[in-house]
Amino acid sequence: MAEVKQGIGEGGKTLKQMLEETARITEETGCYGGITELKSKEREPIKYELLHSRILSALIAGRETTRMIAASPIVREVQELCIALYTPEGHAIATSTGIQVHIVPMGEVIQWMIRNDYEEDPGIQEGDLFCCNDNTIAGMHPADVYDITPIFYKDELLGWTATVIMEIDIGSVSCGPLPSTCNVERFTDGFFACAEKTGTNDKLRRDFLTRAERTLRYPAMFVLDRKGALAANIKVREEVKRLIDEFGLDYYKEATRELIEDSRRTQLHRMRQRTVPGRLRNPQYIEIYLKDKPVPAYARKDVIRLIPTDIEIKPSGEIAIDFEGAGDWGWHSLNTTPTGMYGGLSITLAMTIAYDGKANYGTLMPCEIRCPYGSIVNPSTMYLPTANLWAPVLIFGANFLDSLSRAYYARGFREEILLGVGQVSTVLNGLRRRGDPRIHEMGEFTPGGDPRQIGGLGSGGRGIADGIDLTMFNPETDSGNMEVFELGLSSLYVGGRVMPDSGGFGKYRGGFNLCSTQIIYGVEWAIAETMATHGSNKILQNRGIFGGYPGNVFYAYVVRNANTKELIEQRLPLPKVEGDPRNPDIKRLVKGDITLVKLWWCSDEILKDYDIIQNCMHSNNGGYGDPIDRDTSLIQSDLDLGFTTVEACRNIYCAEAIYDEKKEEWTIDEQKTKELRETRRRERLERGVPFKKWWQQTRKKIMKKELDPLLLEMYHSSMEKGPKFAQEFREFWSLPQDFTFGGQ
Amino acid sequence: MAQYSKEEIEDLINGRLPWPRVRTIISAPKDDDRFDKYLEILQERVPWKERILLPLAEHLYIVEKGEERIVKCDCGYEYGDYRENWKLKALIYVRDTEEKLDEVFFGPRKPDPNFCDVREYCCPGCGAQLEVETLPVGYPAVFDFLPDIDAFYRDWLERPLETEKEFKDLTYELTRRWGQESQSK
Repeated sequence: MAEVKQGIGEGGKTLKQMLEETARITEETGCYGGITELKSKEREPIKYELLHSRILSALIAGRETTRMIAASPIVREVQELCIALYTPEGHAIATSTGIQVHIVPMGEVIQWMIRNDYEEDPGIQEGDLFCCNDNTIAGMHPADVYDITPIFYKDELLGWTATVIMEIDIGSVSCGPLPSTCNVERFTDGFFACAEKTGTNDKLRRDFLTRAERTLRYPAMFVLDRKGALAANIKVREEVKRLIDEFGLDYYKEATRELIEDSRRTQLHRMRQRTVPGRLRNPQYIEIYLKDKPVPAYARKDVIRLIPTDIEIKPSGEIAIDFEGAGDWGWHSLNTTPTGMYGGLSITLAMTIAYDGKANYGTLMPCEIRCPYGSIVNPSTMYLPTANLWAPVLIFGANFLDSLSRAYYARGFREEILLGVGQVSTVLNGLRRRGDPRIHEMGEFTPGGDPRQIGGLGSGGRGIADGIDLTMFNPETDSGNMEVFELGLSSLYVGGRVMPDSGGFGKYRGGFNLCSTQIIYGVEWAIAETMATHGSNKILQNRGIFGGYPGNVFYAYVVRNANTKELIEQRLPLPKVEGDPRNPDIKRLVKGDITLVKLWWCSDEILKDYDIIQNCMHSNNGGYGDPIDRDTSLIQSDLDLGFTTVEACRNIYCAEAIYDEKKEEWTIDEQKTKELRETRRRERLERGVPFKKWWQQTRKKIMKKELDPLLLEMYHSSMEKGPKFAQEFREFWSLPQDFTFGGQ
Repeated sequence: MAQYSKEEIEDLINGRLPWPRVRTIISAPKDDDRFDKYLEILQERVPWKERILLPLAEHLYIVEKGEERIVKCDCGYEYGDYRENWKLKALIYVRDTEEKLDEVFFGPRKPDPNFCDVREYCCPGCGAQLEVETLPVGYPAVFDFLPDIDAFYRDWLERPLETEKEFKDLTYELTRRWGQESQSK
């Protein structure tokens, strides 16, 4: 008789059996794991809450442990990390503070290992460590590395703990964590660990570390990050064992599963309590400019892709998101994945609606995302780069917040309204320092883009106040340690400050963004190129609600052959900030070859000492409400702080401002302002045309296909991919049923 | 369960409540009677008598008018059935040239008018700017929010409205009529 092999799961089951059984019973009952009653919670609510608090404390303590061990400023100060506890099936029970975008993807890696029989080979034992940054398995981009540790109690696997850390470099085709324009296929993504067993007996394998040392630009930081993650995982694992000793094994199993079901129910309740059911809608656009870039011929083209987005809040309180009509995938790094979209949704929910510290797998259960196969949101090949898959996710997250804000408004919870951040804009670079054999990054987290810029993006407006300045995405983030960044870099900061009028105008304006300026110094050479994730180049994302304007498109200035040395020697002013965007300081003060960078861009000339990069961050942060409804005290405050200009004050907000030189403050002439606002209303009525008239004119243009070829191709791709989108497009413009944009 | 006075909610939605208090309200469990107090406040503000069923946007409400449910501006302008995108009854001004864009997006901050429409929708009754869209040229007007009012009143508030309306986007029926008019000319 053949020996029946026991699994490592509950009662000798295999993990695969547990995963299948949990999925089946969840489907049958509609409740996580078939938990129809929250018995632990009802029986002893204090004990139940205590267990959750202890788990959460362990996770946050684990996260802090990692920060103390790691060397990378991205971990220590910028705090791009997070740690979570999972069930044996890979369902998140609780997550620490930090980048909670990974709640779902880390669990999906665990499930991928289970489905691929890791229990058999390579085996799962106490003390093992698994590493993954392969986003075709799950993840947000290769620089986010997952370290996963199983938790055994006696001989039974009781769960997993996983830590995510964003690396300062991942060995890709260009330096840094966010590969730039040249990244057009999977194999230029850099270092991969594909759910690899990288440690046993709580020790990292020597061969894995050797691979890291020989394939990464900053191996010491990578290795210390892994050690920090391992330490955090061990800390959480041991605390979980102590909790089991204290609370009892059966109680731990019952209560941790109830925590998931509890969060599912709470999420449904929150939606029903705070929103209104219905259909919300907002498209996004992805612009790719590779026609003249140094990439292989098959990738060398400009493309714009639509991602129509419908968000349905169902009468049940469930959320259904549909990207039907998303255009074709392509050879560039801005394709995304369903896992990525779930990741975006998880952080958006955890930070804006499920902010009670209990966000877990249950929070995401009542959310369905449809990503059409073969489109830019669900490519039909795994051989694409995944380096910037988070960019469409980021725009989706902002769209989701903007749309959800409309439902909060309808229900009366205006204090919950928060318009999102729709783009990251920065210039990435590589450089070779004198006397250093390596090429270094000067990117988003480093002085090329300024590490402060991770917190240098303003949010969109809120329903009761202006947007938050210089805050997004991770609210806990801090500037990285400049001295550590500078170990690999060479540049001099000359300035950085809030850019006036850089939030979308509105009754409540968007939060402000940062402008920073650096001078290249101490290099043999340097190059500059943009990161391929701007979000808005030629087309602004549809930000701003109720009459508020969207934020701005991305841009930066690069000056080659700059006369900076002379300016310094003669003690003349340097272009520390942008100044007036129509007559920027950099053009007024510096002589040299000035490039205004707006689209995707690669420097075709080497930068040298004393050349300048000035990065103007724009997060596409929309305003809320009609700008001429803005309270004049807010305008006055912005003027006093130098956050808005007299021009914007008069032309956008229609407010008459007078500067009192004695008091050194602004006052607003209320009567004159009232008159200006009345005049603006009359102007609007005079210049506005009835929509029907505009529709008739535009329809003719569409029927004649009088659009830029890039837009014709964009619409054609979406209509080919999305029958519903095509039907609605034809119906809106009252076009023949066989109308297409094909054959161009 | 938290409860706030009507006066405090009014201050909150007017942006007049001090931030520490707002912060407390955001952190606290939500007040279940918010919607009713919110409607009361808004109903008292508008100069017309129709019952507000749902606030839709700054200045815009879905109201009960006889057996119909229409979108109405606080100035009194009526946009028609709430299941049609109200934008199709508004005035539109499109910033489609560099000059027009430069008034709002200074210097290099503007999008490319060959690719991007900045569409400003204003109320034909009062000139309030109700929505700004930034879309690829040729993209249909976005129907931002079509609420399922009957499900809301019936299933969530548990006080169903007297008559039910089909939850359906009626915008395309209007554009179909416009298309037929264009062909017959």
